[in-house]
Amino acid sequence: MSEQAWRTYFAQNGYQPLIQVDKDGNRNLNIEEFCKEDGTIPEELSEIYLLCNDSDVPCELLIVLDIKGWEKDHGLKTLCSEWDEQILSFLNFGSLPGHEKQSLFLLKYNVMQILLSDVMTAQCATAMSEEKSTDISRKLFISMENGHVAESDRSMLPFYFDLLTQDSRTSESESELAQILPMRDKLICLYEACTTEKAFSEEDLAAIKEWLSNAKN
Amino acid sequence: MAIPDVNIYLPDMHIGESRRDATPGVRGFLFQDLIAIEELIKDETEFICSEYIEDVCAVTSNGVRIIQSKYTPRTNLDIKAITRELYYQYIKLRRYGYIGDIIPVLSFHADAVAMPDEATAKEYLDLPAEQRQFTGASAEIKAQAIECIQADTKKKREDGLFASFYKPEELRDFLGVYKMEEVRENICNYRKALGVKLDAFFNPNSCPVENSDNRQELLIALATKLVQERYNEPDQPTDNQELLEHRKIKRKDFLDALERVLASEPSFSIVILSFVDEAYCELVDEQLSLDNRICLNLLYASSNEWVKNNLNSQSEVVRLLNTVSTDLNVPSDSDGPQDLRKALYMCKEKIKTFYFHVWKIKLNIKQETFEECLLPEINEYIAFSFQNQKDWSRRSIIMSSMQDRPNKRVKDVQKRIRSWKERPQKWYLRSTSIRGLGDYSIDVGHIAPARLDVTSISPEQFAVECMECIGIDEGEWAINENCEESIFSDKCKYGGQS
Repeated sequence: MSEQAWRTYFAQNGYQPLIQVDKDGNRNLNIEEFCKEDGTIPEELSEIYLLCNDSDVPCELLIVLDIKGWEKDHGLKTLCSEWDEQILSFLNFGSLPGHEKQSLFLLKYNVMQILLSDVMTAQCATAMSEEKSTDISRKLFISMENGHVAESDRSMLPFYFDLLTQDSRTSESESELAQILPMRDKLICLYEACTTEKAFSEEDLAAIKEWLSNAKN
Repeated sequence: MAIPDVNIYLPDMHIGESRRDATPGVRGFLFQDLIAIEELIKDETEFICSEYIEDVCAVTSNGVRIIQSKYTPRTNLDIKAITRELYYQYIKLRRYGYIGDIIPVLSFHADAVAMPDEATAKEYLDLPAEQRQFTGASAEIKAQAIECIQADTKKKREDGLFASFYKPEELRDFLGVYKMEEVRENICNYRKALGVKLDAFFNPNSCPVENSDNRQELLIALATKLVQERYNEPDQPTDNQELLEHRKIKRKDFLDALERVLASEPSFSIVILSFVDEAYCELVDEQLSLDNRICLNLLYASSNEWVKNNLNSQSEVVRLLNTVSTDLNVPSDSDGPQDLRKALYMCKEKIKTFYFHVWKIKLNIKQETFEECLLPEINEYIAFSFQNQKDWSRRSIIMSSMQDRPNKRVKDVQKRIRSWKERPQKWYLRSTSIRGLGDYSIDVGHIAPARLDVTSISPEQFAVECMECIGIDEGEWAINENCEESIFSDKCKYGGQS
């Protein structure tokens, strides 16, 4: 199983990876804010994924940090804060390659740190607290198993959801509800907006009373 | 014949010179201070006085050099006016009875000038065709001279004195000793060269400042301050004798003072003052209007004062470093004085740029003091508020410039500023690419609408003014910019986009 199997989840959902790998296997990123002092990519930064809307305006940025093998709790808060600092600087002063003229406003509330972690780390107190934080970016600790996002955590990915299946009970409940509600042809006055008591005619009131007495029964 | 003590004659030489006391800060700064320092380090000098008789007078064992200093690059000097002024002092001192050497000197950096011959000098001085000599006892002659020099206008004072005491041989004597001493280097190089000369007087091993460039800078700054403080201090004596003693700087005292200061860890303020002097020096050649030149001189003087009074303690130095540094970390006030001094030297160019920014903004808005619009209650950085000048920002920081890798550097600046309690609403930070609105923090759980108008930004937001509209480069100081329509305005020619 590939160590990088998790990449498929992002690729299948239209996210564009921003780190380029040249033929010698060197990784390049044209966003200075996310690089180290010497211009290289930080070790923990596995990928940056960008999603644009239908007008090709950047609207979501996912920063995937690989912290597998980290000791539980150790330096997690600092790591998240440092990345927040870089994210803030990018949002304040940076630009996206290929989108230099576009505002980053839509990205402002849509940057997420996705931290690929061991199960123990993902469930530690610091991780829990960081996930609750709404400061600068959302943080999501994802448990990894053999290069894959653990089954239990897949639904946590921002774009991941199961198809809704129709429950048989739903249709039964709907028909029960239909019987209780007033008939539209007789009591259309109850379906009209802004109805006031004064607006009811004698005929309407009689029909409402009849419907209520049936409902009681 | 023994030379009488010149001190007897000097107090009355100040009669009619009170204009020199009335306008502190408007004088031809720095060049005349450097001339005074050059006189002080000459072996034969006993003492000097600045702004007492002419710009500088230097007294030796057998005479006095009366010096007028002129720093007017690319401009012709008004030799007529200068000759009249020096001849005036020459005649005055002679009529008071002084028989020692009187050497009138023009120290200048300007286009080459020609020494006037006798006929030209007579024309300049508007002397009568015939010798005219007031006669009488020496006390009467002196009284007549004093009467002449108390006339209400400068021209009347000069004409009266020249007409009352004209002897052709005395004019020839004057022209025989009249010296025109050219300083070839521009003021920055001249200042540097004097720093090197001063350094040769002292043992470098006794000074904690090891770097010779820094030590020479420090020495020339210290020497300049020793000269300036004598005539710039408030509450100067009104009695001429007392004033003479106050203004007098004896060569030995001067060198002893420098040696004493040099032997210990230099104060922070003197290190910073050396940067302020260097910054000012770079502006001396700028072609400013007279009003702006006076304004800049006053700003330079008040910046010196502010440094002396406000940048002495470690926490005060941290305040300056916090303001100008583009590094992630600046030393804290718990660091040792040596570390802070090193940090100051590392930030020298940034500190100079900070002063250039403050001075240019203030020149544009016609403010003559450094302290105006300063917010003294903010201690983490040097904060200004130009709201009374129609700036929308309530609290601003005037910074230095972002050069290499601005996007990387600005992250470090942002991180430091985010940790401050009273953060600035606006950063005046020179950069070619960093500008516009930014956030100090973002709450992703609370989406705020986009702010189109910077004047209503929240406390969690700030604006960066890239300073492109404010020129501080060579040749740009003659331009007056409209701050209200540029850096104080809520509009930006780039639309505030980086």
